[in-house]
Amino acid sequence: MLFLDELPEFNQNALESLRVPLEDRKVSISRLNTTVTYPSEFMLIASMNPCPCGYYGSQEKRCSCKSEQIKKYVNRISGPLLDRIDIHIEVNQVKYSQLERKEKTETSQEVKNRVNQARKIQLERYQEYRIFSNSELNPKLMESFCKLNSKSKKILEIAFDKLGLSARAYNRILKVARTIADLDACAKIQENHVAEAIQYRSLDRKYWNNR
Amino acid sequence: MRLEIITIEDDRYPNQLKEIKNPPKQLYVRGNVKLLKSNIISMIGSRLCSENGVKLAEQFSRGLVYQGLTVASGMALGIDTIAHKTTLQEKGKTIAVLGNGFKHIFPKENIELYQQIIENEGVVITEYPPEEKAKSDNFLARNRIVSGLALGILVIEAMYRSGTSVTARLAKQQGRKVFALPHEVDDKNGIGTNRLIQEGAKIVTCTEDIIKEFPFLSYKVPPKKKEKEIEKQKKRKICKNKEYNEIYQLITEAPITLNEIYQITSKNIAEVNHILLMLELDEYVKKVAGGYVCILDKK
Repeated sequence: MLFLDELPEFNQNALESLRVPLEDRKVSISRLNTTVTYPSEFMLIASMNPCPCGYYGSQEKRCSCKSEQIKKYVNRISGPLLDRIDIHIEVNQVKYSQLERKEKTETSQEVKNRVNQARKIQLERYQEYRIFSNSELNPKLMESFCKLNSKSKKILEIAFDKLGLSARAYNRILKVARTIADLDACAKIQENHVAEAIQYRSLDRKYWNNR
Repeated sequence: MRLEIITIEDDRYPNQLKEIKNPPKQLYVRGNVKLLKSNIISMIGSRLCSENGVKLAEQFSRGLVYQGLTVASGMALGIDTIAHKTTLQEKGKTIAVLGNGFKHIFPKENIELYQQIIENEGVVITEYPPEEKAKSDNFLARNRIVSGLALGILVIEAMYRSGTSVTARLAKQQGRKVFALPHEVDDKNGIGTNRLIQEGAKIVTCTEDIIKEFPFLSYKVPPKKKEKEIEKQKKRKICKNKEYNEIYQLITEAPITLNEIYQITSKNIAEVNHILLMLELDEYVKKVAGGYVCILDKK
């Protein structure tokens, strides 16, 4: 597990070099005479602020950044890298009162059970293909396992058009939708699974690059 | 819309502009020429504007349009762009003054805006022949037209020693009223405006403050808040799907996050997510930084 806090603060070259291991799950190191390849299977988690001051879009405090600065800051994360990250989620500031309040929440144990259940489904499904999870699906396998009904296709089509999603996001959305369906213990991907998966690509959206 | 050349002897040449020290000998004009003789307020501000500056520019553009004034600016990035765009959105009249010829629209980002201004009864003018390219000297010269055309200029944001401040001082020399928005002392984008106020610019907090300076204009009171809210209720679209409507009703013009919506409703997060996407695709709501807001009917 690799966790990068404040993603845009990292050196751009370092970030870009993550692209290959994320895609191929291998790292190749070239020295004078030899090239050594190591396996590199990891889960990448990263966090970032919406702008340099951290308050863009906040209801509590005014953002003091200029629009150009915000653009520059967000653009430090390149499109190709962003495409290799399956799920983007925006979170808001937590107020003290919220820390204390008791709201409907799921416990970690419950979440764990759900995740294990979904993993089991995937392990069984992919037994004969020598892979373990949805993330390892290749385009060919996706054709048979990530089939969409006509309604879902329609949603996806409109979403691509209206939300300005990148074409590269397509496969990611399908895989995430497959996982959401697994969590639901659904054999087939339904519209709501696709819809939820689309919601998890907020950084691809037009609004983010609007100004 | 074809290109017209208006010389200083032409009847259509704005009288206001003739009064300044070095009026342009001719204007190249595309669009609604009549606007040049309307009551104009020029809005100026930084190219690198803050989010708050954007909000203020939108608010004042809306206010000026409601009062029936024409909003002029320089079609640069930042505040200028916001002034033109908001005015067009509000179906108001806008004038863009360029520092280059028509064959070399600058900045490139605003080519679309340039078309929109001409198509929506606005007007774009420049003193330079079509072949003239954009260069920095021209922009300083352009600013004298931006202020010269207008009854007064409104400065939204200005940094210390910025082009905006220079334009404001120029306007003062031309005998134009200078209006400036007050900013917090430590606000970098407000140093220029605060200083202008020190130098005698009129401090404004609302459109009424601007109107009051001109005896021949009368202030139209905008509909009261309550009426406004009713109007907004009307303007809100009606969502026929019952299941979606429950969520739609929670979304107002103030951004609300997915989590907040989830906490209020009886639905689980996946359902909320699904419905939000559908509402977004059907253009009932839109996602902005900080959450979801509703889209109002523009009719």
